[in-house]
Amino acid sequence: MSVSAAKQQSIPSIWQCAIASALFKALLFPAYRSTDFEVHRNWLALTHSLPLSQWYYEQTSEWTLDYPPFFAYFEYALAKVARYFDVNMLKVNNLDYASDATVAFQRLSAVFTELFLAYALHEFVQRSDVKSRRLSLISALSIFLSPAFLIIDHIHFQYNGFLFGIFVLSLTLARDPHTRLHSGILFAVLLCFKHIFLYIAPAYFVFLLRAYCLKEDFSGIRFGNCVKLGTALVAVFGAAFGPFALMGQMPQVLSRLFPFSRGLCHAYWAPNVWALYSFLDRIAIIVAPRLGLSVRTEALNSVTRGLVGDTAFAVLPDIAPKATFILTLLFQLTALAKLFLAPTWKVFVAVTTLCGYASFLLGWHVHEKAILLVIIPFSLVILQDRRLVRIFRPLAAAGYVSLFPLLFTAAETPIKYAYTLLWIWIFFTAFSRASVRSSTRTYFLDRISDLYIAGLLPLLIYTAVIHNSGLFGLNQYEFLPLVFTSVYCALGVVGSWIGLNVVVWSW
Amino acid sequence: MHKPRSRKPSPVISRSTPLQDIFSPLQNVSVYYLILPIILLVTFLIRCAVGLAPYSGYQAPPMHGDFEAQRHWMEVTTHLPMREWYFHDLDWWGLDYPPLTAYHSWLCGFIGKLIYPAWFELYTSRGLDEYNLKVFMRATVLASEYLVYVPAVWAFVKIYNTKDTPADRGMWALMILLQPALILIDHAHFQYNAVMLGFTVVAMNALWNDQIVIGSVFFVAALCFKQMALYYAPAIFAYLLGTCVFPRLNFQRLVILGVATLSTFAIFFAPFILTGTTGQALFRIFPFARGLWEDKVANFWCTANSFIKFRTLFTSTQLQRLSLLATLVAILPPCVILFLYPRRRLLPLGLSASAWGFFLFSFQVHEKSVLLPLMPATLLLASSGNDYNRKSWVGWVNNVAVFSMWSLLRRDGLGLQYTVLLFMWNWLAGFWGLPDNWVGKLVHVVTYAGILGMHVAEKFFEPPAKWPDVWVLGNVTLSFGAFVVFWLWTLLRMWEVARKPVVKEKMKGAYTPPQPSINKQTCHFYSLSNISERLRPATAYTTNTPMTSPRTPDNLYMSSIDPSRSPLSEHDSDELLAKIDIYHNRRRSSTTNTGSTDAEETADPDRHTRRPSKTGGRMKCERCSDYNRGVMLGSCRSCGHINSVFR
Repeated sequence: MSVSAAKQQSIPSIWQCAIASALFKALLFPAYRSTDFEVHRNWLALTHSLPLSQWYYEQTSEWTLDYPPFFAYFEYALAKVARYFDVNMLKVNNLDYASDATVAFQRLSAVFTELFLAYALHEFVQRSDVKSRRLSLISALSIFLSPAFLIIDHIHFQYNGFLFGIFVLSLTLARDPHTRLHSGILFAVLLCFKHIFLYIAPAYFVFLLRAYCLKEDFSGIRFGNCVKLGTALVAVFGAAFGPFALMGQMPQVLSRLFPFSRGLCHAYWAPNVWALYSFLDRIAIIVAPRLGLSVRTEALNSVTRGLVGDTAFAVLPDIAPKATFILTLLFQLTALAKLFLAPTWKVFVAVTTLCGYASFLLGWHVHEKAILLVIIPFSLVILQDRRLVRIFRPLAAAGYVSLFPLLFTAAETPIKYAYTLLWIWIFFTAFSRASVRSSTRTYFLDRISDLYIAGLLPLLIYTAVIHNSGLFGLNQYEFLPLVFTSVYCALGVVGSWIGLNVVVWSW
Repeated sequence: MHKPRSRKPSPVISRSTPLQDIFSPLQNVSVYYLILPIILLVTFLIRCAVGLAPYSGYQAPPMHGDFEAQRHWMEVTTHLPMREWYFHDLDWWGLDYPPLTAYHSWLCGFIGKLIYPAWFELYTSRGLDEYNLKVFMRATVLASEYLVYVPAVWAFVKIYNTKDTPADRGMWALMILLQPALILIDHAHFQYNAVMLGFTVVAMNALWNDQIVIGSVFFVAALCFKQMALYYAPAIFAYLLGTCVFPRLNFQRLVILGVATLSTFAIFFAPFILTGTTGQALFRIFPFARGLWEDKVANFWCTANSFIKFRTLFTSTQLQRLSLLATLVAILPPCVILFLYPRRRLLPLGLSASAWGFFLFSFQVHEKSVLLPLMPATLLLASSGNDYNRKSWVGWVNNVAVFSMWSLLRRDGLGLQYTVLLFMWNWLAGFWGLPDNWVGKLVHVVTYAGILGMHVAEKFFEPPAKWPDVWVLGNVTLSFGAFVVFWLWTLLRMWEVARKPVVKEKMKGAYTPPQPSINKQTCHFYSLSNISERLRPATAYTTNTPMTSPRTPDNLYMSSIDPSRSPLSEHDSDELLAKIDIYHNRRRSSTTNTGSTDAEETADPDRHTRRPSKTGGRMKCERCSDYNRGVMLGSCRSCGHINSVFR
């Protein structure tokens, strides 16, 4: 025991890493910011200066409020502090306002709210059993230092660190039967912060139903628990949507939250099944005439441009929103069946991951940022099974590489490359050294996954150097780097998805 | 009731710095290969992030700043023949650095022109503030630093103390490379100081290994990159001269040195000698016509000027002579010590002391010149494990130096980078600690209080109308006082190191008197007279740094030998030899028995730390990762560590 105690000390604590990374992120204040920066500034302004009844109706800026009410309350609270930095950022008509104080405030708010993630991970480590605490700490550090948060939150600008803090805390609390109610409540709160987490709500539903509301041997229902959970959920959603329901604004709120008018793929294809499908269609355009298939000419332009809007396919059949939902649900159901049969914490987190996978890979209008829904819960269970490490590698590598197109400015390019490389180097080594040995390893597949990760390097060299240098006249096809990135990354994500399914069903 | 004293070394753990904690997973043989990439990437990331900041003269017409100067030199060197370089339109940032900078500018400009010619178009590109140009220029600074300064520092920490573990070395290197002053000036304000400093470190490394020709060539390169390297010249000269004179006069060495130095100068200046423009070049490089000081610098003249108006008392020529005299007096002590005791461990101290002499008393000093005395002082962080005195003094002077550049950095809009880098460096390396003696404590506390007070005052109070520059003057006076104290501290340390007789005992962290260098040719590796010396460092190591030493069986074994018995007399060697034989026999039998069964392997938690890698018949040492041939007793040639595998 003394040896393992010594080993536990020989790892930096979460708080040390939090300080170090916060300092590094402070240096990124002058970095590039996307339109999301203006989106959040606008929300600060409109929650601060307008009455509640107008929040979901306000449309001075094109970036209208389209997050659930808790996030709006969160912005409202932030605005109370923002006053002391620069009052002008809180004016609704002050579009694209970005004074130094505004930038400092918004960036600082992202850094400070991220500390909640550090707290959640700290709880995750403390609540894991003594023997696996070191392993949990490695997982926790890998999450906190993840390049995704650096790229999305601190350069591109969003508040994912804080939201995923709630998520991690909720998953952690689900471990202990005594705190499962809190876990459910926290997840409900999270849903009222950002509704993208609805994608993994089925896993929570099944887990809480099976492990909290039903008796373990199916012999009956635990009514007390059901009442507690039901009341808590009603209270949470009431607190969030109640005021708007009372004002009769629910249809308007919902139409803001779920805009169905968007296309199948985002402007830049997220690395999912539909990216592969679109790519296949693109190839089919070239091949089809030789096979005698008909090509819909009106679709030719929109496929290549990949603009926001309807994605039309030239050869392959079009995909309806309904079809993607049915597919997503279908694949989620297979995972949920496993969870229903074996409602342990490990399976629960893995199934949460699988739900994230299904929605990311098959969902309608998926953003590349949604890969976090897969990577974060996956990281929490990764060290439970040696095979998972091998599956996680292509996922993490592909997932993070697929985030690179978010930052396209020259000054941030070396930062995103170097940081991701550093993360991969450190944590892939740490994971493979720390993972618990299990019975089987498939050497052939391991080699393929290594080969796949190595293949990312030429891809990056192509997108960063060769394409822009104008060699072979490739730079006339603007979309090529993005297509290659999303298609190649999609292969990795799909591969790891299959692998995780196999492992979960083997438990 | 008194509890019996616990034997756990808990105080050590509580004193570990965040950097030590962050590096602790790397204290393991099997991940040593990660150390160098991690250091390179971390320093790279921080420099890139700092580079996002505005540079000097950003959108500040009409003259812009240092950034424009460097860009303009690229424009001039790529478009004009060499004989015009030092003549072209001198009013707009005329070239006033030595030839190597000009060649460097030409190379950067050449590459830049391939990417986007308009950046360096003659005349039309003046004062360009383009986003991509900034990225390109920042990249050239990074590349230059990574080609010269970073490898030089890495080599320095490697040779400074060969007994450190690679992870410890990585830690020292990271501490040195994250020095805020250099990052702020090179990567935010914009200059190429790291090249000149890097050449100097390379020269120092070479002198450390007694490669005098390489040393002098690289020092001349430093001089030819930036004339400011002259600050070091007296110290280097005194040291080299000392090695020629002591222990006996070596005339041949002196001649070799002279030839190497002069021919290097000749090669670097050759194009200008051939075109007959050397005179103009030298005139541009040494501008005697300018004033005694520029801006507000924390040196003697600027500080004393608030009390005595020199310019009314003396003429410009008199002032120059006066400052020359003062400088000579100031650099005399370090040079004399270096000349009389030419020991390599004195080199960083001597270079620093000499440069302080120049910085404090010579004319034409910029506030940025503080980087020169600072660099060798910062190198002292190498192997500063438990020497809190040394660490706190070096950290302190670095903090003061960055503070002394505050008005420059504020003008460039670098307040954020200033705060973050200072905090990061101090927090990581734990420089909050105070030195042991009360004088040091007092000095540090007073300076830190002064710095904080000055910042607060500047932020919240308007200066009185009578003295509009009062905060700047306060800054200059405080920094000057601190620099003088540190200069005296350096001299004192030099004197201590020089006077310490060469003894073979205890490696007590701080200044080990120079070891009798173990010459690879003459070292009889397995002679008994040597064995006590080979064993000693390992013992000293484990007793001094229990926190960082890997828990290998060897260390546990070595620490089981009573530390008070070191240094071991030759009398002990027989007994020890026998012990080691027994130990290795035991190890050998245990390795042949275990390893085959999985249960045994997983039961041993340190199984990864045991095996030194074997490459082509050469053994790689576990601790210093040097290669050894013909290893006897499993102990390493360069660091004396006893490796466990002995086949």
